[in-house]
Amino acid sequence: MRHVGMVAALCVTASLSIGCIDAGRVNRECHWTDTSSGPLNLDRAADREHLRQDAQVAWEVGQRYADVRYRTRPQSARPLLDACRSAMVDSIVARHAVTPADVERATHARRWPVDIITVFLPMLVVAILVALFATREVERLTRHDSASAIAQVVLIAVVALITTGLMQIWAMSVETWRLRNEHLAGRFLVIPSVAHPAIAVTAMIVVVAATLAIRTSRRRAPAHSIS
Amino acid sequence: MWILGASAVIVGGLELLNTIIAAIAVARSDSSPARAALAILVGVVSALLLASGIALLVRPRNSIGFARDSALATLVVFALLAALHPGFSMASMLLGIVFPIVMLLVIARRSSAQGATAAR
Repeated sequence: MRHVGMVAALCVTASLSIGCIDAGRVNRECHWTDTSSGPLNLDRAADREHLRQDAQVAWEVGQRYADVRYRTRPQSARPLLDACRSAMVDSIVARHAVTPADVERATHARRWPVDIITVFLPMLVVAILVALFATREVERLTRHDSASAIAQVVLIAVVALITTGLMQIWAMSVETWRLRNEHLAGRFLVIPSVAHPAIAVTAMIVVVAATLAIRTSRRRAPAHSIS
Repeated sequence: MWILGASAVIVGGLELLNTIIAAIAVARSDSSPARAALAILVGVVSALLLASGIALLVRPRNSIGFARDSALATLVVFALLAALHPGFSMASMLLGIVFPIVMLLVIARRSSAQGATAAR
């Protein structure tokens, strides 16, 4: 239990400290700030990362600029948002000799190791724990050693759905923290699990089903050894 | 059981209010019919949760089944919403998933405790 607590604390600390936006560069006046200029070579990882950060700042500055005026009216905010973001993209293109298509790709780029450490691994552990807890509760309430096949299928589906939902909420919370802005708006569609919900649900079904299968086989193993 | 009923009234009421606000926002923007259908579905389960809370307060013994079914429906719909189309606020989705789980556990444990008492 102590180890689980330590791992959970590590994951939360990592989530809150890795991959945050440069707070000094974001503002509400649609004003572009960048300490470095010069052409970027997108074959180099460091330059790709620089462009990803620039694209993230451009998105966020546009969002905050529009939010100051029309936070709860997306249709009214759209022209301001588009104008500011295109000005930001123009600045990036002019400074770094890249194309608008490169900036668009960088907007959707992710730092996968960070997402894996801060979102996917913790939620994998949560899915396993929830699956074990749910099975134990069902067995305790039905007073059977193992749930029926239909009950197990329903259990797997419901637990996978719940854990995927929790994963999306966690992923969005982490993104909110990274951007230092509670209004994610369209940015939540850049989160991998939100952008590909079918893959997220399928992965959770596999994780939950595998957990229950391993649990069942472990419980049956002593019975076989006795006979 | 009245604590569970009161909590269900509060959570159901808040979720219903949030859904109405979201539905107005959806109606103002040029949203897809799927989004509108989702808002209606969430509104229906929120109203069910609210109704089950009132039922638990008024007739606690006769409304256990209704409360359990409402909690299960709320859990499935909010889990679906969060998993496939997380458009609502994070607090609303988290409450919509966690509260029905707590409600189901409380009802199940109480039912099994009553069953054990009756067996004696």
